Amino acid sequence: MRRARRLLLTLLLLVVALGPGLAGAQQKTLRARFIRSAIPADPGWRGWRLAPAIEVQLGPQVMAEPWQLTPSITRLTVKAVHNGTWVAFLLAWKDATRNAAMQTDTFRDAVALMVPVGRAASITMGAPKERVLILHWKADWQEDVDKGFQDVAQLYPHAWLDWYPFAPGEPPYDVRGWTNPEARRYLTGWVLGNPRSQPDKRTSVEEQVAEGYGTLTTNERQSAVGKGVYTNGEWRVVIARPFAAGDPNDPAWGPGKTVPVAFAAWDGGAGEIGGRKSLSDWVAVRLSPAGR
Amino acid sequence: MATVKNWQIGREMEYPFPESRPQRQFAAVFDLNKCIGCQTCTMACKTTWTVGKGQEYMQWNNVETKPYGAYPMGWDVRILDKLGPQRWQGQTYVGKTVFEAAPQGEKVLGYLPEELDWTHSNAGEDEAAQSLDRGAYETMPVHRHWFFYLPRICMHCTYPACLAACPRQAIYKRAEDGIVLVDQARCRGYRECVKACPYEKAFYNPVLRISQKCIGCYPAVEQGIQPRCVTTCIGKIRLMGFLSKPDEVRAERPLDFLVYVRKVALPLYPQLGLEGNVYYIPPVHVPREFLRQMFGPGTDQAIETYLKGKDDPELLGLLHLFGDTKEIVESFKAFPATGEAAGYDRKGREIVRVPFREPNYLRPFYDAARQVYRHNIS
Repeated sequence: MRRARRLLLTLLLLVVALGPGLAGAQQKTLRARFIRSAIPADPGWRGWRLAPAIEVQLGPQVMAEPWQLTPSITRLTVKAVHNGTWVAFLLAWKDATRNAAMQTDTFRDAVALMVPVGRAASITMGAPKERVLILHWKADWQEDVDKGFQDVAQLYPHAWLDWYPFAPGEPPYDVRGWTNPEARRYLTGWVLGNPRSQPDKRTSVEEQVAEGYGTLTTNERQSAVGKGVYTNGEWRVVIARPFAAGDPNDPAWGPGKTVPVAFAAWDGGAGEIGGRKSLSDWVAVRLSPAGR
Repeated sequence: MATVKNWQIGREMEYPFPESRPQRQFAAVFDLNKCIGCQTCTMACKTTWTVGKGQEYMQWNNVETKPYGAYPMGWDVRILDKLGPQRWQGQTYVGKTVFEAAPQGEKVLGYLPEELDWTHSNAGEDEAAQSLDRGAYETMPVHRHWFFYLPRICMHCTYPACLAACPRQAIYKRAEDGIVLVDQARCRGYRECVKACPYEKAFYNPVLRISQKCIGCYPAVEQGIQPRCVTTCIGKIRLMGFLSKPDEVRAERPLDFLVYVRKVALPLYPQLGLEGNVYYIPPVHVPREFLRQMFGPGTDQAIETYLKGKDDPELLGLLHLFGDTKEIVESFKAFPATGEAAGYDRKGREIVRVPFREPNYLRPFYDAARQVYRHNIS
């Protein structure tokens, strides 16, 4: 009985959540213009002013536990351009707080876009044999790139520890210098190649693939770049990637094609992370033919 | 949701995955009557596993003083408060578990501790339940003014809430020994496990940005050695071993004997529904209503059996095997005729033998050979 009630409520919320998204998808197509120049991964680039924008509505995530019934980000302004080899998206949204630290009880702001690897995929982060490519920008990675790895000294400026086993150097023992295996023994995520734990971040965007909920995996090859800037209560984030990176997980996109893209956003200040997010339905992105 | 059997609450309950008990289950018994709160276990664990970056605040093993101590701050009263009334009918729990009480859209009822909650791990140390008036005296065995130490590690639960809550399925329970681990390569630091574990034994590492927890000293356990917190315990309050499935009890197994046969070792907050595998011998001097809330309806029987332990050679002998070998005792035997107890490894080889009573030596007050007087003659 309880299970049946839960299922009914889930279905009801699903309809409520997807309703406006579906309607919006039918009405709106994002035009990604061709440009002849290189595309800088910079939300301040002047070329963005000329790119057409659409408003993308984001709804609650009620398909996989944990849900986010009352998400805080409900709307993204999205632009896209391409130059024949690279495609770039500009995602902008209002957020009253800038959250970039991942302390024990804080969460970072983030935004992501999802593209089917094949011709189409389920909105549910793909499905078996319906793989999706997800480009996930994270504010804490941006902080790592901009200011250097967020180590204990950056996260907790008043903390002091005078000893870590085998740690080279002097307090506060910047973890980027821990090259000896004895010291790295305690840096499990780093040693095992978990991208979150890597002190030497090159990009603020993680490329991921998924075939349904719970299957999200870091893509073996990382080709996406990005940059996020927070000013006047607004995040402006660029996510860019080559159409073809010689990767089996390259989407079937390119100049002259129309591809479905879905978006998700996280407000770290509201404790949003993982499935606790707001998300859109598929949005059609029409990529102009090269040269036009 | 699947329906699974949880023997600790005497009924079936809902859990996200079907029942799948390991071949052998990592388990431990802590005798709370013997813990002196010296924190040697805490230091052994700390220096072995959590001296790395981002682990500064972590204590996979901690010892807190009850009733007022808690690490993180108020973990027990907070989850019990969230859970609401917890009623038992005899040996059956009729309230809700943290899985059954989960709000819509959540797998588990829980909360995320605030950062400050972790910062005073030994707050409330040695604070008695109430202050002592002039002329106060203690009653026996239950004291008017009481406190006791509660050492805690991960319970390596049969139904782990951390595992249930992880949307990435990055947490797994090993089939060979039931130890629950976080896959450090797959974890994304969502902290759903930290929120879900009602015992608050999953920790987030803010430098590596992933979660970590007690690993049951599995590299030692794989070699037949008990965990660091057990072997270093100077009060000899701990015994780690393997617990059989509830329907395959073998009385010669130390853990089975204490948990299933004599029932002197009890689960901690069984009403939460995780079927944790660290069991406690309740402290005899603490008011029963407090203990019943913590250890369930078996409390009174456990204390009665424990207090009669001196007349129970098997129980007496087994309690003497606590802390007397670093090897995992797979089976034991008591020899009332000689007043000894012995422990055996997996191959049946004797690894330890101890007397029920230590021999008493009396030495003369004056040592003529050394021409000194002794302060202590026994």
